[in-house]
Amino acid sequence: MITIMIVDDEPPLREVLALLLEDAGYRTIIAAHGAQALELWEREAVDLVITDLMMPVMGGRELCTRLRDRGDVPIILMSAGGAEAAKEVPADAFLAKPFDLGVAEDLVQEMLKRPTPAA
Amino acid sequence: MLIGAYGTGKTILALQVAFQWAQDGQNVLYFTGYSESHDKLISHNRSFPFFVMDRVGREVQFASLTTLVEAGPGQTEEAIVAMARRQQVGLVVLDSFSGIRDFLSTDESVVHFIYSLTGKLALLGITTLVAIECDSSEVVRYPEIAVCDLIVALSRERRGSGQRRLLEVTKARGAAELAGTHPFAIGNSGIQVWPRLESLPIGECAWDTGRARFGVPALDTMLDGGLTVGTTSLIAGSPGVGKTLLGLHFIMEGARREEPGLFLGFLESAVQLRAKARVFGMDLEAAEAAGTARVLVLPARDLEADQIAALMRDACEQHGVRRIVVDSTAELERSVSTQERKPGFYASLVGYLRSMGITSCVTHDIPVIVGSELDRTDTTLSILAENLMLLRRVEYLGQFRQIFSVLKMRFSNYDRTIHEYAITAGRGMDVLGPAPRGAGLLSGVALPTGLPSTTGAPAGRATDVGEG
Repeated sequence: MITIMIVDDEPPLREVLALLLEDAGYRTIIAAHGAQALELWEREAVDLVITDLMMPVMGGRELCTRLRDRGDVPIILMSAGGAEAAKEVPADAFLAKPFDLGVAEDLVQEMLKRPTPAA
Repeated sequence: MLIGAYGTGKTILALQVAFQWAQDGQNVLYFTGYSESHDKLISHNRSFPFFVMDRVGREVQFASLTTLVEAGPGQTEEAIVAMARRQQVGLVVLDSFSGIRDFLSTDESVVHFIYSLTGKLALLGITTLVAIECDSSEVVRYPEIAVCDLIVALSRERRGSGQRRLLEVTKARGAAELAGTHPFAIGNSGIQVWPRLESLPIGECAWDTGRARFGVPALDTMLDGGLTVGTTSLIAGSPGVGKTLLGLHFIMEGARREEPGLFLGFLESAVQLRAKARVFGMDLEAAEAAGTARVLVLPARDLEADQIAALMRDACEQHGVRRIVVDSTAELERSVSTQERKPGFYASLVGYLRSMGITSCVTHDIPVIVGSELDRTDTTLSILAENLMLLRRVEYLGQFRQIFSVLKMRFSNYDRTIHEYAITAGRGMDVLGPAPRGAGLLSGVALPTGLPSTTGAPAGRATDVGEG
């Protein structure tokens, strides 16, 4: 089963997103910030990461950089700050908040179909 | 969030919103609490026309919160979200939240519950409407209120032996609300809100050089062709001098010229007004049938100034009214809740009518039939109105005479001479010509110029009027 990690400091958003993706047949794991996500990364096999940009403890910019050091997992970056705020963050796609959940689901499917550089 | 003490109308408003959403094609999930089971709620409110029974159980689903909350806040939230998703609703109503609040141990858990639930529903594209029994002065005791994006506060206040209902938007994130308190009523059709006139934006219209005639030839001549279009006039005079009749002339002349008019009255019924018009040779009923005149009579009690303003706006914007007569200021005065509000309200009203290019006349009773208090037009409107006309019954050499004078007319020349007028069955009002020269004419007790004045007015004063 495909595992998606959702990283966001807003519980309603990460829980609703998890609910939606689980309904679509994915397994989800949840983290409240970047540091917690890295801890989970060490224990879980993650196929896709959806992360917020602005979070306490460790933000999305640093998380993406550190994940890139660890491999080529597809990353979707979310932010209410607009695409400009996400500039130079090593993510594969950008999702502007607030977003339609259907759009998020479509983007997840599209990202999972993309061949990884290793493949 | 809808806040308000018990009995302020929260449930009716929430239901009205819910059924409006349903009418607009959105499903609604309506949770009831301990204050009223949904069976009771349906039976209490089904008489409202908006409460379409066919929608109940289909577009509008009712469910009880009381069974959900016993499972704890987390599971309550989960259940609400799951039901909302399953039924693909656009709106979730919690009426009221007080039932849930009692199950949550701390303020923090209350805030968390609302934050989490409304946040999740918002992400799902669902709007949440929460009703809370809380007076707007006590909001600090309800920290969950800070979480919401919109707060609508309902309240009641005493007004004499009656009461007023008021609605206020106290918070609107990302939107500019209409400031202030807006009166509302719960009538047979549900809640009707009349926006506070002073809060509404008023535009500017191009200056119209046209004239709005009364159809009384000598009077129109005194006014240099009629009232300037877009101005407001005060027709002042003691009872029975013909103010209402002059208003009818104004409406009927407009009807003749295909300029739709509204006669807004309070004391005389529509039937009486039509009969009065008929006596003086005017077919008001025919003008109404042709759509060039409308008569609207409101009960002269428990009126809200904003209600009157809303009716005028409705007439102007929906029915293309070009002329308005309000008979009289007394009811307008009483409808404005406080003395301090009057200048602002009248300024907004006059400004609105001007912006719409509507010419209006407001009658104003001067309580004394004869007396020396001639300039005492005791209403702020006398300052704001561009034009001021006075009708007077005068004792002159042992006889009553009726005189008409223009005391003020901005933006226009006008005849400052005091004129005599007559009212005749079948014809209505006729201005006969200049009144006999005399001192104290406008005070009601006049003497021919040259004789000692009983009012103390200097001889020849009549020729000085119009400097107001």
